[in-house]
Amino acid sequence: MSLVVGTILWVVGGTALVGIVAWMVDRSTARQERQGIARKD
Amino acid sequence: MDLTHIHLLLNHFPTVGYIIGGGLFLLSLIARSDDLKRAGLVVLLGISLIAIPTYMSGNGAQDAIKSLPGVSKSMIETHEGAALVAFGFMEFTGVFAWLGLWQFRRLGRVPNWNLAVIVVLTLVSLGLMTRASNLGGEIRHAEIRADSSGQSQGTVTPEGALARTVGDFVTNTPWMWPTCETLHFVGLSLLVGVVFLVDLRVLGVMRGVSFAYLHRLLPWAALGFGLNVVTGILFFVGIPGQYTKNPTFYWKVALVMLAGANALYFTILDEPWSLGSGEDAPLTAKIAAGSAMLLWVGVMYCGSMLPFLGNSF
Repeated sequence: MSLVVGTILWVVGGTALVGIVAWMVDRSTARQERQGIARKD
Repeated sequence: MDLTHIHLLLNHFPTVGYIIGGGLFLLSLIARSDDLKRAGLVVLLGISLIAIPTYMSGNGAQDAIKSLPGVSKSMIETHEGAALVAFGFMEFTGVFAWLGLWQFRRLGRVPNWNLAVIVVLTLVSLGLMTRASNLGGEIRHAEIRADSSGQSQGTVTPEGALARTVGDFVTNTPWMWPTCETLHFVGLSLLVGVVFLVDLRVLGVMRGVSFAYLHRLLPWAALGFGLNVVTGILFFVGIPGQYTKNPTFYWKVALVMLAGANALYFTILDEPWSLGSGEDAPLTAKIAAGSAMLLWVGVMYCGSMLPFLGNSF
């Protein structure tokens, strides 16, 4: 794999992975916070 | 004092610290105590941070003893490989321990899935680190080797060449180093972007925003930090001498430790958490926010200046 193609693919892949994990944590937190509020109601 | 002293000073912390932190955490599950749970998670996170200089100073200690009579190169490499695997698991444990503390602050509890992950990772990390410690001890203590006559060169394990294999892959693969550099900056941008937002709010900017809103962004910063630890370790394993012989790098690691400890203040304590919309933060929170900004600027300065200070690049 050449320097340019390899770098672009792995940087995009690595950044996307971090973004997906962070997004999943955020969605999960939002869901649990909503459930917590609903339980209180 | 040099890296050998630092390695000898720190190398018992990961094993003993994980016994204490893991013990507190397991006890908290049995006793159903939230305070014990938080204490255990703080210890696990702190030890995961201390594991960074513990692992890195090992390379300096290696340079100091590798030429001494009776010291086996293969035993050093076996210890290095085992330590790298244990260190990786410890950092994963630290990430989930931090997430548990953050979840506790936000949700009032740690979800069951994360409790299970932390228990498993803690036990695996402890086992791996105990083994790495034992292999490290065997380097200079013939009396604890399987063959205590001293004739043996110690236990040779499959991961003996692991650190060198990873290091060679990082330095010999054309796209690996530039990829790690780019991801290191992506991680830095995530981390500093979120941390500065939080710190500026505490210092009085954007007073209409409550701290709890910004607190929700902290996992993005933690992921940025995690990305930087992974890529930073890959740089280090690639060319260890470039870092172990550079005092600017020692400063960078020390500042990262302090900044990591500072981040706990904003993750778990009540004082910043209770900062509502339109409210002014107390002085201690402002001091913590100001020092966090200085620490992270210091980390960035030391990181950027590595090729220019210390003559090791």
